[in-house]
Amino acid sequence: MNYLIVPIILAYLTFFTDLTANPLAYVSNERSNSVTVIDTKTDKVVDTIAVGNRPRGIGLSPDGRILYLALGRDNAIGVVDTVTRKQIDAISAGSDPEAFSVSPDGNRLYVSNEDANTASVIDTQTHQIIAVIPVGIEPEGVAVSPNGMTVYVTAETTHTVSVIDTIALKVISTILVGSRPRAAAFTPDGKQAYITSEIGSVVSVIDTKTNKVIDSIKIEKKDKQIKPMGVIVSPDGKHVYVATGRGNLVAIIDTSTNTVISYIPVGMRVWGVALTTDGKKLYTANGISNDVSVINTETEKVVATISTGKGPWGIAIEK
Amino acid sequence: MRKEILSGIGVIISLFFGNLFTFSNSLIVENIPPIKIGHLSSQTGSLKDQHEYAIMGARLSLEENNVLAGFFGKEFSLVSESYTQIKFAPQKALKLIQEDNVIAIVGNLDEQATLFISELTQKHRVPFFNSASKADNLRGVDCHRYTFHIKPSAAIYISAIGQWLIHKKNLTRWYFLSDDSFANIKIYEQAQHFLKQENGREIAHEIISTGKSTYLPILKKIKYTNPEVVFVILNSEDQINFLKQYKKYDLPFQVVSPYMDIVQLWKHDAKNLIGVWPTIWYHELFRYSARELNNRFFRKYNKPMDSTAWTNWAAVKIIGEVVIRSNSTTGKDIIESLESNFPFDGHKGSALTFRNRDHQLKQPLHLVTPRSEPGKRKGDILKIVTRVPIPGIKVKSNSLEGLGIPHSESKCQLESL
Repeated sequence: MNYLIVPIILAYLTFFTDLTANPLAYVSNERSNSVTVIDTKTDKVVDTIAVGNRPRGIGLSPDGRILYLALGRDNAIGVVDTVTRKQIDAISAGSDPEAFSVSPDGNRLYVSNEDANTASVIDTQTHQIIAVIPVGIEPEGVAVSPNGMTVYVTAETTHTVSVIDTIALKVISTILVGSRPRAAAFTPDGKQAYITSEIGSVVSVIDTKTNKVIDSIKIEKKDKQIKPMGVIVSPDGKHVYVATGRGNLVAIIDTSTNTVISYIPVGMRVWGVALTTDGKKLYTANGISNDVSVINTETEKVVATISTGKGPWGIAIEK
Repeated sequence: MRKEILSGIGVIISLFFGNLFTFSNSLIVENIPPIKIGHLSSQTGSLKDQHEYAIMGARLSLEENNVLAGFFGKEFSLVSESYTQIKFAPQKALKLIQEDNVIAIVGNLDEQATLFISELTQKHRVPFFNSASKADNLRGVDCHRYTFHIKPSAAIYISAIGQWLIHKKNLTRWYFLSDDSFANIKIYEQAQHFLKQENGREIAHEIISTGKSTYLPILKKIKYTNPEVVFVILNSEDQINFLKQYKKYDLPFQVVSPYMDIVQLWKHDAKNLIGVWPTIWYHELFRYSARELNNRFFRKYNKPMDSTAWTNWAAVKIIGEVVIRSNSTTGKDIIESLESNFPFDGHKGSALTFRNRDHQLKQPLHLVTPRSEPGKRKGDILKIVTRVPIPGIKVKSNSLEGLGIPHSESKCQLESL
């Protein structure tokens, strides 16, 4: 029996080790209920995974073995095995989950429940909801601090960020930011957080020690409908990349001055953004043009445009 | 005084508790009386049916404001007054100002009462938000610094439907039908002016009395004159009656109206109607974040949100957000905030701001038309034709700033603060 299993395991490992030799980018396609898998070295599509209904928020476990997806129409978080590339489970996650964040240790998911005005905390081992925390109205973006101690949850209608203590599982502070906050991202040292606000057209900078807004960066460009959406900080902490929705641009903020230093044209209705671990490539999900733009962050130029499923929304890249 | 007390308490609590300020909210709320927002609603004429929706919109907004206010140790309350005879409007408003000490008033009122209250609130330096009257003079010769208009003006409604007719459909030969009321004659004159500016041609203007049961002679006359557009300016019941008969008579000309009361329309079978008209809000709007607001309203009331509910929701929401952001309840501070391009999220996909020259809220509208068959939910009777400003049309008047009376023709001169 054993001498039958061993070669199968070896073949399996060889096959999938080869497949995952380069970090992969996973793109959720909200209108075709699929995930596009992209090899970040070749920038070619290597697979498409069928998943549940209306996948938007997307995130990987720290070891990259599990891909999580917020499935809005299934009221669940989909669990995808990245080795077999199959959806293997769906965790009940309250009404219409849109965005979530995985804790740095991979043990928890923090999920925003838009209709319920709550954030749910899910144990990734048991798949049970271990806490439901009231936040502002229409919660959306979720970000866990690098040390895993706090979670920021934006709320679009109250224009607030709820700061959750991950030990007490309680809101310890609420911060008023720009109008209709969407996404949040921490600097690698966790000292600051950047919050995008769609209607206010600003990025609020928060000092995470005091939980106060210390700067507000206007994102604007003539004749463009700038709506700050997805946001990510570079691994060296020097730049912040902001998707501008129907502005069809990515804004780059210099964190030393907190000013926009350039805008890069990308596909239509740019939403989710993700960086490779080395920070050299930025991937943007373009919801209307149904593609992903790949930006070389040194030259600040688009180096590839990759077709996806319909309505690409979010991106997660392996470490 | 209230501002000083709040600030003082805030400073003391901050000194002692630092970042735990928000934990102390409940204590502060218990000790500080709520900030009062006045709501005055007419229950006369066509506004009678809108009263319920005005109150529902305002109350939903109050709830939302109180979630936000609770985070910062504050609370709002709504003091509602209504009247069934217009002569009582000023004394109701005075009660709100002098006895209830409201910080602002939202008025779902007819044109005459809106003018009274606009003058009264200017005198008492209390911000006033007009959620129902579209009269252009309120944004023109009768404008006031302490008055803000959530409701679009008649000229904006005319521009909205006019842009579509002229620039999208290329229909320039218009036949006007109006009743003889002062308000509707003014609207006709504004529409006539718009058409002239756009180099269109007025085929005829038929003035009729209100409450007609049959429009057959007029329909025959329209057929004979062969226009491209029939532009209907009647009160709600007459308008619905006319559009029903127009559909039955099956004329080929595009029929439009500058506005429609959807609450009135819900009482009729819309599939028997024809026409296109602008609306501020419709409960089947799902784009942008309209879906979320529509769902919240429906969950709370089991009724669809209409334009009246939206204007009253927006007015109360704006007041609450300005107070929280400016940390002040004084009229002067509220006005200065709103005049500094305060970006309001009206769930319409872009920041809504007030036009400084006349205090009109700049907002996109939608053109709607009756569905051939009703939708799934109660009240699903219309479908969206387009958003205005109309995407892809590059003319100055087809913009949030350009809709309505142009700056060069504005007669509004706001007082100093």
